[in-house]
Amino acid sequence: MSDASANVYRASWLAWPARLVCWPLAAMYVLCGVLWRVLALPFVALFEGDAAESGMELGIRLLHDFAVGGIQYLGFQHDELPALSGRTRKEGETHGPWWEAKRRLLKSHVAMVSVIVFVAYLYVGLGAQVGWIAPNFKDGQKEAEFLHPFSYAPADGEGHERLYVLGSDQLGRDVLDLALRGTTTALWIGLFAATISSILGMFLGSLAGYFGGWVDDVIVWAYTTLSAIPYLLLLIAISYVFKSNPSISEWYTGTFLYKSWDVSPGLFRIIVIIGLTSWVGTCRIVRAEFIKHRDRDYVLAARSLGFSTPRIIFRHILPNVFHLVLITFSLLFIGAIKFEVILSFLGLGLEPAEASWGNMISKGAGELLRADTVWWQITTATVALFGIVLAINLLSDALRDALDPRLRK
Amino acid sequence: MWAYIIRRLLQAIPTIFGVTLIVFLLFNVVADNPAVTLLGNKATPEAVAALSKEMGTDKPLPVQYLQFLKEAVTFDFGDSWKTNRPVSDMLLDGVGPSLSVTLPAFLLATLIAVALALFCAFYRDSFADRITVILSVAGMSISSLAYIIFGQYFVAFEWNLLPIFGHQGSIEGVVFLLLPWVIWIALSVGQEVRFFRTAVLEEMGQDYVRTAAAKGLGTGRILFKHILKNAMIPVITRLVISIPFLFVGSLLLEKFFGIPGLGDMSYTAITEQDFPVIKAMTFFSAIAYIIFNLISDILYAVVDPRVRLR
Repeated sequence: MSDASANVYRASWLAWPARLVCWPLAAMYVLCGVLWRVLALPFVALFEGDAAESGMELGIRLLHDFAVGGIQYLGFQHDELPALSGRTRKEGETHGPWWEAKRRLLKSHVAMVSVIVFVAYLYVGLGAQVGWIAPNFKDGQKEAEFLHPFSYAPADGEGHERLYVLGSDQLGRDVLDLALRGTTTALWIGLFAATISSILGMFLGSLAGYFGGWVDDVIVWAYTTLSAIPYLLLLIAISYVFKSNPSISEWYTGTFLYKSWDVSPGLFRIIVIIGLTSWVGTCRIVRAEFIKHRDRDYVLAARSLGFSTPRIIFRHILPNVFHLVLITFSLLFIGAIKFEVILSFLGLGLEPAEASWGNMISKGAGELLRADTVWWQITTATVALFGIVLAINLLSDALRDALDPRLRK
Repeated sequence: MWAYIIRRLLQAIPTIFGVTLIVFLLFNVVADNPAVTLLGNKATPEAVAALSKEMGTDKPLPVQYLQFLKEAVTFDFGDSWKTNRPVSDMLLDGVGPSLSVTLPAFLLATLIAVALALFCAFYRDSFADRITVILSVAGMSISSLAYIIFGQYFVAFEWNLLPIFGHQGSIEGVVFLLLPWVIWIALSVGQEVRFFRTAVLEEMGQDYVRTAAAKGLGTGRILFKHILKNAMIPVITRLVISIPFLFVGSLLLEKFFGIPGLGDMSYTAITEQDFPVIKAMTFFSAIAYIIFNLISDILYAVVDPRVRLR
């Protein structure tokens, strides 16, 4: 993009609220980055010095630059978060494609609104995981069965009253608390399932595209086979088989995930199954891009300089393809959350006692048909699901516009 | 052309092999003993052993797999373990109800989506275009279960406009199908509109469109005579590829509306570990997938002469 158009750049007025909302995330990034730089210090000191600057000096400079840059960003003195690699833009160096994409993203009101909404969901999810939000979501009481929204019920024996903003469910649990806690479940599922399948798809796709030949044949065979089975049917079949086999659940309850991290079997099952089956789309896209890139001049140059094949694949070609992975990641994220709802409804997802939007919808479906229609549970879950899926859908559209050079006007 | 078709059909063999392998591994290796599932937990070991022998699940795994391959090659999957009817009869019975839900809904949804997409592309960036795009994104973001549950609740239960549940083979049975059709259309139209709109817009940026405009052709003529033809290429491919999934039916719709189609049948088969039905289902749906993929590639070459089948 030329300088002239860079001058007329104006960020959306929502970019500021979005930055404010993201401030805690940025602070966490800076904190982790400083820690990482401190931990990396001995390694940099030992291995990375040169004649002009010793390793120790380099390491301390990187740490200093990162910390100062991070604090400046957090104090609103500076617009760019420092890069974790310690790379800074040299004088006269042009901006990269990611920087341009970010500016295009900042221009879009829709993208900023969806960032704010998504980050809000993220905070709710994290807060509920840590226990700051809805800590007592499991506590239900008999007197509070099917309370209407905005009704009061005694919270304990000492006459304290408690407001149920969105009513309560059959067990007398606060529906709002359940929905907030369900956010955690949904985010874990979306995040991990999409990460697993993106990594898998990226890895297999790059191997297939780069090497061609029999590697390509095997990987193409694998994904053709997977996509020849209707996806929902496959998902249901695998979930059912894994759920009904006692030796698998026995094995799982012995692992550290269950013992020390308290990840429920249903959550684990959904994440693994969706993660391992939904990589086909990413793999296809990455493979097609690698086929285009593998004979380009920069790859030939890297090869003739004697760089190793993994280095060429992951450091040279993959960054040129990564924006497409990011777009599919957001779609996989939504897909995983939506499939959780379907699987939980069919009784193949999370345990009925766990807080998840899928469980709320499936219980709420029956409650709609009661004589006194209980509509609040299913409506709450549907709206909560709708909000995050809409935000990510819009964000992925904006990302596509910002990142995909073919669509640039 | 014929060489291409034959080569593609030969390439399909490993795919079908892979599908049988996945199904076999899943149900004969990973899954619990089906005899136990069929008889319940309280069955005596002798009864379980006898049933296993009858079903052939006591043989070594390679033998079972060869047996499965033999069934696949001869297109004969035997009798269902649950209903004791021939699987082929069950599948044939299920195709009709499945298609009665999916086919009309699919055609209607496509028509609506293409019309809306052309409309949006024609009035690009207008208020109507933006509203349509926003509505289709919003429509895509609602859970499919919510459509079904709320649709069933309001239309059938609360307002009593249509029957809530059931199926009838005759022409009067249409009342049972109206609601599933509407829900299917609502579910799919958003995504289709967005896809078709992008396809049309991509064509609109091409040089030949500018040439046609420079010649002095009207917008409508350019849109319907020039752009539509080219924009239909990705559209047709996409539509043909989705046909095999029509045969399989919509699992959720069939389950909710009590339609005895293939989707509902395969779900029941999975939960009852009715292997013959599951195997036949996945096998035939894989074959349909491969055939329609091939057809779509051939069609692609037919409608676009620049594409050479290699």
